[in-house]
Amino acid sequence: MSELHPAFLLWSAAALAACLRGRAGAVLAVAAPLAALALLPQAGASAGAWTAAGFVLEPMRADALSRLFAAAFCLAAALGALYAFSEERPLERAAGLAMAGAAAGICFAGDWVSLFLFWEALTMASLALIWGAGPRSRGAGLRYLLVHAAGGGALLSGLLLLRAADSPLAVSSLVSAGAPAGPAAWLILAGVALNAAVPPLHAWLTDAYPRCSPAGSVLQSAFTTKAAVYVLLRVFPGADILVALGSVMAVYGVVYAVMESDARRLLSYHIISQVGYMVAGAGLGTELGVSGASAHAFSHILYKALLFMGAGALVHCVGTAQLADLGGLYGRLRPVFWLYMAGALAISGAPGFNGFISKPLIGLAAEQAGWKFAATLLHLASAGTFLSVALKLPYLAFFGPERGKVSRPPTTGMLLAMGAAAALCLGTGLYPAWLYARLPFPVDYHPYAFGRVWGTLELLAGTGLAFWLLRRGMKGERGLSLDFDWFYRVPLASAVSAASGALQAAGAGAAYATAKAISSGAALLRERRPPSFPPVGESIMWLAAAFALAVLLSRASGL
Amino acid sequence: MSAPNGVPGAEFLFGLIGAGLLALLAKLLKVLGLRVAEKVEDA
Repeated sequence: MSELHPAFLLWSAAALAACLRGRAGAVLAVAAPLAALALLPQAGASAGAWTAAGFVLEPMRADALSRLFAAAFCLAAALGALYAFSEERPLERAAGLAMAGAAAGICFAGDWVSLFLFWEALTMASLALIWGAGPRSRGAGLRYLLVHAAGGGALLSGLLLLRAADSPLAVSSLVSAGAPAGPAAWLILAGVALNAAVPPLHAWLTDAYPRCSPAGSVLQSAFTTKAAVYVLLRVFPGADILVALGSVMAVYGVVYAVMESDARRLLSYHIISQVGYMVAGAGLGTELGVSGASAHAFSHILYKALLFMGAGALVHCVGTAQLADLGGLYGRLRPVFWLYMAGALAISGAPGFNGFISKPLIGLAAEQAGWKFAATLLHLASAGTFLSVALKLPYLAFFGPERGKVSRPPTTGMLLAMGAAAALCLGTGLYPAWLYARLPFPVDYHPYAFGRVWGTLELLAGTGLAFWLLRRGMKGERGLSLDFDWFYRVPLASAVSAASGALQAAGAGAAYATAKAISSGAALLRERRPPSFPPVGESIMWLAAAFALAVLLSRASGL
Repeated sequence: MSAPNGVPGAEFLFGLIGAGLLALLAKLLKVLGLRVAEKVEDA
């Protein structure tokens, strides 16, 4: 290879950052992603191939799609490191850089073997970031590992089937006649969908991300799901099932977000909702759909990082992100509020911000391709996004009766990172041509046409009125609504406990030690007192499945 | 069926009704599953 691969630059920096202490490590964690960002324009179409163990490896193949995603990953890593500048957490710094390197590696991988290696490296680095938050995240990390081992297994099985069939291992489309082409493609899709947090394979996200440190959540929000979206755009464009799944997950995430009382869990559900738009864009497979999903992924990485920075600032300053324990903080955290609101307006698609120039592309692509019901669901999710992220969360945290004591102010690094992220959201929103010129396909869309601006303002105003009328019913309530993690936190944990009990009864020595270890694992898996019946998530899932079927049927019937 | 476009006030009504329905749906599901939420205290 004649070029320096951004992943290797970032991984080298990760190794160094793990050893460095103090300001040197913090500066390195900000500078390395920016250096990798500077490398991207020079990344050529292909930097050559190696042959190893009979496989042709092509770890560096670049085009507009891969460059755009890699650029967003580098920006997110730099912003996350700036946010954590004054925190002395070398392991987290290293894990963040390693995640950025692995995610960039996925974007540039030209063959499945390289992609799989980067894919697993991303999982391991992400796990390190979760466990780096301390003992409180041990159970969530174990569950993350369990679920992603299953996803990685599905991906590997699909790749082995491809290999067995002598199919080429170059990363390319696996879609034929609107569906994944054969069992190998379906297995690969299952593995990728799990990382994209497509319901019902999504509960790992809302379980793990809120358990990270404030900076850890910021970094987590950028990489895993968006790297999966990149693979969907590269490998499964035009797979009809993704339109149904994506449009339903956009609404699913919003409904859960409206229910949630923990700010970081609420925002985690909104990752699922927003990734739904991108999954739908990949499923549409048209030029506008693919470009719209790419543009929205770029926008999303920036505004979601900003939103998690805001929620993380609450954790840092007040010690909690539970909305039931927060209120009236506006006077004491004014800069945090306004910077958070920039992210909230961006995710809501308000004119002037980057969500406004990217989100409508996917809805328009759905309408043009005849997926009208899917377009309606995506539009409905927009209203729900404004309702929960821009109205409910800030209303409960920053206004109303005073709750929560501000024990320390936000750090300078936090405010600088939030300011930079807000400036990027606003800059790309006000100057859409910059982003549109970097998309995989040309886009002829004028977001600031009067009708589009007016229609968006109407939608936001209608949603605002609905919130005002229903605001008393949206109070934060302490507690946790289990989702599909119920299945491995209750029945699976019980089964593991029973197996452990049987082993302990059977003998001593190694068997007893093994049984004790399994028992500890089961306790971590469960972590909390279990409910006696399936959670509310199951009823939402039945509704979601019905809606997904309706999307497919409405397309088939032309409604 | 698709998102309302072009008719004055249609987007306002879509936002009002859509957000209201989402909020009511979330409330209904929360009530149905409330006992679960009460039993599982966040650590």
